[in-house]
Amino acid sequence: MLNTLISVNEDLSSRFAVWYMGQLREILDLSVHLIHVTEQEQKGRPVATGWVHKTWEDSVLLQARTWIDRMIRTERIRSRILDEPEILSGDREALLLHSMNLSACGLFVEGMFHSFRPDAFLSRIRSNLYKKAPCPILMVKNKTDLSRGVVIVCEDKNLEKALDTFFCIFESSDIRPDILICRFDGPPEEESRISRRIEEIDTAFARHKKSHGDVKTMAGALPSFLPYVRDRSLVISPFPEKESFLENLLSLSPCPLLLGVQGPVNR
Amino acid sequence: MRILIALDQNEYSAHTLGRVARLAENTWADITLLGIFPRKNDSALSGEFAATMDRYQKDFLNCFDAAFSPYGPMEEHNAFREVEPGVHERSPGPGGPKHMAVRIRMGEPSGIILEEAGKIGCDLIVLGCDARDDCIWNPGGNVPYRVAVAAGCSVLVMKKDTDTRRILSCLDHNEISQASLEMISQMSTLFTADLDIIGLTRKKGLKQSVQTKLGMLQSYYLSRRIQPWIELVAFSDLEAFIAGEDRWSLIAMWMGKESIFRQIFLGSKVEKLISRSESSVLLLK
Repeated sequence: MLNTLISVNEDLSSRFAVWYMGQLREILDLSVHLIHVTEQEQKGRPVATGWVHKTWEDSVLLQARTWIDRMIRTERIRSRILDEPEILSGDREALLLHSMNLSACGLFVEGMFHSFRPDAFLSRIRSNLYKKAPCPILMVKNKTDLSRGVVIVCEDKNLEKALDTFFCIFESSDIRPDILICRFDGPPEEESRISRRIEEIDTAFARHKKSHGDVKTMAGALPSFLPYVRDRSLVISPFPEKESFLENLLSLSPCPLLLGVQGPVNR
Repeated sequence: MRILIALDQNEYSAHTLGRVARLAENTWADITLLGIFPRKNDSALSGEFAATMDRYQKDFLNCFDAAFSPYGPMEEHNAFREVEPGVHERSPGPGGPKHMAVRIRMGEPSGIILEEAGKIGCDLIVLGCDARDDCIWNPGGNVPYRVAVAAGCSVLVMKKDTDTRRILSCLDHNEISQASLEMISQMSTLFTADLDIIGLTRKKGLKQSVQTKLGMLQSYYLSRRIQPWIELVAFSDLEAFIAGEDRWSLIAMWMGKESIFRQIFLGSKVEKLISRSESSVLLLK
């Protein structure tokens, strides 16, 4: 069973995440835990002291619990999340990393909105939380069902990591992902190299007793890649390097996105 | 629902009929096929134009299975007759359950279309145009733009089909009407397209109230088996967002009196949107 941890906030994108995990539970054996971290007070004076402060904290936690309960009730039919959510207060990144490590988390999940400007996406995947996460991260940018197909997107140099990420999560499923290798180094007509890559993919899938869909290698400008990362149920990618082609491409996809591990793996 | 389809003799007009027929089938709309012949009021009806209207009517009716068509069959020898100076009409045949009128008028197209739309109280005006010619009517000029801006009802400016299967939906989340949601839902079915829904953000991010509306919209469309993709766009980026991408087969924009999109796109920007964009444009009112 895969241990998953969903970080939720009081926003619509958290609903995306909860809803989407309900979809994944149809095809994967998952344990789903919800966590909400209320941010610490802003720097400066704390909200009162003593019992007044305690009462204020309690009321914040109660409020958080109320809306999380409401969200779970709304999305529950599909997501079937039965566990009590965990509500913590403090440094969000530190607490989430701690929880991931403590629970031997195999997949960290959170919602985020897809934006025309990529700034929010970039600052999130460049955050310490993402860099240090000990497991793959699923960013759910929209509600989409699983019928639209899965694509593994990577560059030539990180194909293996991309496949690892896929097998790590979808080992037990019968999903047949398409594979897109971007910016294939060297001239596109270098057929022997392309065939070698395809052989590697075939071998990896055969080793896991699985099959894949179409394999495509492409060079060119970013816009020509966009059709391959839109309208999908899931885009799977290795953790992209800062300012890389892959990072830019992923920022333009409105689909749920599964990122490989940047730091040491939690297994 | 009443739909007015405004037609001239060009290919872009013929092109609208198939799609609107499907819309009519889904909504059981009353239809008016309005042919506009750019001559003076007192001119005789051109035989060639009457024949074109015959063809349009046949093409439209051929989109339906005769046994289940909401409109009656086209009668032989049912010629156009002048009912007023410059207005020619074919008498409605033995009808199906829904009404279909076929009229020809002569004169300046945009004025005629607006007048007819007001007279029959239509909910939607449909006109075709060709994006390659800046969406102008020949003759007639920028008829689609003039109609889109001045009409009191929604206007669909249809362009040639593209391969893209996405609709951009710009709804003002404070002013969503059930009719506009339904209209977009119908369009999504017609274009067999997914929906991109814009969430407008300001400096402080996405307001909680807008998130609630977006969530409701999302559930509404998902329950109709339409895939909505939500994308956040900053208020200041909206124009660039719409102008910079040709990935939509249709751009649907809420342009009611209070609409924020009306404030942003009023005037020359709507003209630019209609004339330059490869996408069809639906202005909801």
